[in-house]
Order: sequence, then structure tokens, then C-alpha cells
Amino acid sequence: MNKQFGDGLSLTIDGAIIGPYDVCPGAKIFWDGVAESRVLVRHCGDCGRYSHPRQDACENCFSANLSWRQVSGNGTIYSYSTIHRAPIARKTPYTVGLIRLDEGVHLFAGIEPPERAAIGLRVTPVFAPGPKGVLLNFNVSDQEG
Amino acid sequence: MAFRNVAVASYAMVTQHMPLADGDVAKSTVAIISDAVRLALARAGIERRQIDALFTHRPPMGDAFMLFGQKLLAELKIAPSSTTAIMNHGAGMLSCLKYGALLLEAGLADYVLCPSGDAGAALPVDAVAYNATIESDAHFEAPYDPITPSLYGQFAQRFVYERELSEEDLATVSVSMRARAIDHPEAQMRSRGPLTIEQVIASPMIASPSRLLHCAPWYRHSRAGAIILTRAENLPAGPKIFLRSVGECVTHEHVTGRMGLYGFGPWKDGPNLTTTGAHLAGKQALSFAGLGIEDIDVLETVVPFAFAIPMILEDLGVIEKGGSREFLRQGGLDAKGKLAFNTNGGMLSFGQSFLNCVMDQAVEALQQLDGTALGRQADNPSIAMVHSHGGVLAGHTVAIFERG
Repeated sequence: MNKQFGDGLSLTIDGAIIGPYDVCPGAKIFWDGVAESRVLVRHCGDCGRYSHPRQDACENCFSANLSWRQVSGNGTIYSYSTIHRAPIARKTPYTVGLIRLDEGVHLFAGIEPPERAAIGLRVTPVFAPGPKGVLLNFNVSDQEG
Repeated sequence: MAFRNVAVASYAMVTQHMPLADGDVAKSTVAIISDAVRLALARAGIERRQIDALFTHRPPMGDAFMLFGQKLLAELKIAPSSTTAIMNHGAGMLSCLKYGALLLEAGLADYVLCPSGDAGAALPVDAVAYNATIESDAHFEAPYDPITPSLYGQFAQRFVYERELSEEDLATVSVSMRARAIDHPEAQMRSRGPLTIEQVIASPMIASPSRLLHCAPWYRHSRAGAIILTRAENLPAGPKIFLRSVGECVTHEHVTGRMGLYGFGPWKDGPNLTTTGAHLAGKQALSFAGLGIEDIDVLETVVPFAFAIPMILEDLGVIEKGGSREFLRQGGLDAKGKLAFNTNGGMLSFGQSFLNCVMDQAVEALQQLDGTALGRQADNPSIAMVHSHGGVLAGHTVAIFERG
């Protein structure tokens, strides 16, 4: 279970707590899904659009008629940035970006390999166990976009 | 509709220079703001207890206490009838002016104090970790170890892609800002001399597409400022600076959430990361004041990365939307024209005095209008526009001042 990502967090900087970040079902369910190698996104029963992250109301039509749906996780790179100076001790460079899923909604995630990221490339999801929990990352597909 | 009657009673900026002299102690954020307030009160010729309203920006990096404004109030030993923090990120500093103006025009205040400051030289937290913590979504972005430049990088990479900007195009922005800073005695990067395109491109990549010399450096000294507003009839006869209008727009908190904002305005057909709230804030400020962008003599912007300068200039209408590449390649930033832009070097070469960065640009604009600019002085300007933003291009506020 992805305890760290979905549960309530105390935001701290150098040990000083700057605020609580509450437990939120919209985060917990998503990350529990990732731990099971599933990509779950909120789907609107009224307009059919998907919403992310953590929406309680549809971002398109504001309906509360949302339910969780599993999606393939396939998509394209909408934007990205390759980091050369990390905020913690870890190997660089690594790339973080916004992935536009085929369902039209956008997720923030790591992109592998970091040097191959480019806007418009097709990506597929990969579930990566790590020290903080299972992360959802995206691999650049060999197929053209 | 423009504010009819709101004028600047005074403004002040103070700096505690580093390294400290022997025996001196680094001031706290509250202390250095208190110094700026004392100076502004003296220049306005009023006592502290004539302040009816105190508005602050969100808690600064040097003092993250949730009710920071109350701490300042406790230091000043005043009891204003209106006080709050304006919480739209760094843009909140300029937004304070709007709320102050509304009180003044409604007759609910005679003097409004809008201070700002950040004891950047005595920061209790690591700046990179602080920003990465508060500017990334704790549930959906933080797990990936982003840094603030990589969050801005999502906007940047789209802008570079959509405008087809080259490395040289981006580098010209940094070169241009450095040239202005060299003329300004308080600009951090002044002593480093002029930049070349080659130097910018050779600087290490921080988070693509932003290299070191595309990023604003942290200002090495602590700075604080204050603006006091009043109704014009409380000031002596003679020229004064009026606050004509303030426009605002906030579009998101974190960049992932921003991708869910669409269906109206500039985002009617879908989300995009190349038009920011500055577009609506600027439009609002200009239309309230009954002005066009061509009427602006001085423009100061709060922009910490090179890519965002042409992006914000497009949003404000200085560059035609979509026209950044052409503008930059024709040397538009340095064209001899009416508009004096980022006369202190902007954040890129003046430096970022942590959360005091908005006040830096506001005071620069006011000094330009007063003819007392410390660096390059615009030729007899009448109207100044100040753009501020905060968060990851999240909140934007635009204020227009006019000498009259």
C-alpha cells in the first residue's frame, strides 16, 4: 500500500512543520491503485470526461456524478523538464512531465529514459517500486506518436 | 472603472547588507519590515496609529508563521480596523493595493499600509527545499522530487515548443536583462558585467529548458519595502502618483491541477500552458483604467525565468500573441521605443529578494514615475504598469500607476 503518497502528510521543511496535508480519498484510492499496477481516474457519468487529480466535482461540467475508472495509462508527453539539480540526494538527470492520457486527462509523473523525453512522444505506464512506495512512471514507447 | 481618488502617500525600501558589520545581528523579517514602515510613515508625514488598514502578502520565506501579518501588527503596536493577508501567492503584494484602494474609496480607511519583506539573508529554511515543498502538489507531484524550475519547466517547454524558440532566442532575454542591471546600483548581477549569448548557453542546465543564467539568483541581502496609500485630498497640492487600477487573475495552485482548467476565456478549447492569468489581469487593469498597452511608459514584471518574460509580454499585449520568436529575433527587448521595461534588470539580473521581489518591481516603477530611478531612468514617464505573479505562474496581479 502506498502509505506515504495517499495518506495525510505533514509538510515539513528542515523539520519545521509548515502545514498539514490531509488524508484525501482522491489521493489514497489513486495511489492504492498504482500499488496494484492500475491507473485509476475519475470519470463523469454526466459528460463523460475524466478529471485528475483528486477532483470531487467534474472539472468539465462540475457534476458530482463521478466514479473511478481504470484506464490503460497509455498517452503522449504534453510537457516535461529534465532536472539536473535534485532537491534531495539522488542521481541526476531525471525527467518529470505532464502526460496526456488517451482519455484526455493529464497526469504528472516521471518519464523514462530521462534523455528521450520530447513533446508528442507516445508513452506507456510502468509501475516502479521505490523507497517511498510504488510510483507511476511512463516509458517512452518505441512507436511513433 | 478606475479608482478615482487613490494616491501614493509614500513608499520606502530598506536593505540590510550582507556580510554584516562586526557586532551587527541579522534582522528578522518583521524587524526589517518595521524599518521600511518607519521610513514610509516619516515620508508620508503621519503617525503609525493613523494607519487604518494593514494588508500583507502571504507569509514570507523568512517567516512562515501562518498569521504573519498579525506578527507584524504586533511589532508595529497598531490596531487597524481592517487587516488581512492577501493569499494569492507573491501576487498578493500588489493585490494588497486593490483592497486598500477599495477601503479608501468607500471611506472605510484614510491611510492604508501595504508592507512587504523577507529576511532572505537570514533564511531559516533551505530555499530549494522550501519552494519544492510548497510549489509541488504533495500527493501527486512531490513523490517525483521536482524542483521549482522543473514545475515552471512544464510551462517553459510548451512555450519553447509552441513558439519554436531556439537556445539563442532564450539567451537573448538573459543578455538583455543583464544589460539593464549593470546600470542599477542595487542589482545583484551588476558586478558580473554584461552577458553574452554564448555564456548563457554554456551555463549549466538546471531543469530544462532553464539553464543557470535563465534563472533569477537569490538576492544576497535582506530587503523590505512599504507603500502607504491614501485619498488624494489628504496629500499636499502638487504632482502625485495615483493608483489607477488593479487587475487580478488566479488560475491554479499546482501545475497538474492547472491542466484541468478549461472551457472559458483563453482556455475555452482546452487547457494550455502558454497563456497565463497575466492575460486577464492585464486586460482588466487596462480596461478599468481606460487605457491600452500602448499608453504604458514603464513596465516592471515579476518573472524569475527567461522563458516567461516573452510569455508574460505576450499576455500583457506588448508582444503580439504568438509573436515571441519574431520579437526576440528583431531585438524587440532592446528596441528604442516608448516602453521602458524591467529597468532594474528584472528578477533575472536584479535578483530575487525572496518574497520581497514584488515590492522591488513596484518601488522601481514608482521611482521611475518620480524621476528618481537609481538605474536607467525612463524619459519623463507618466504611466507605469507593474505585473506580479506567484506560485508556479498561478496568481497574477497587475497594477497601473499614473503621475498626475
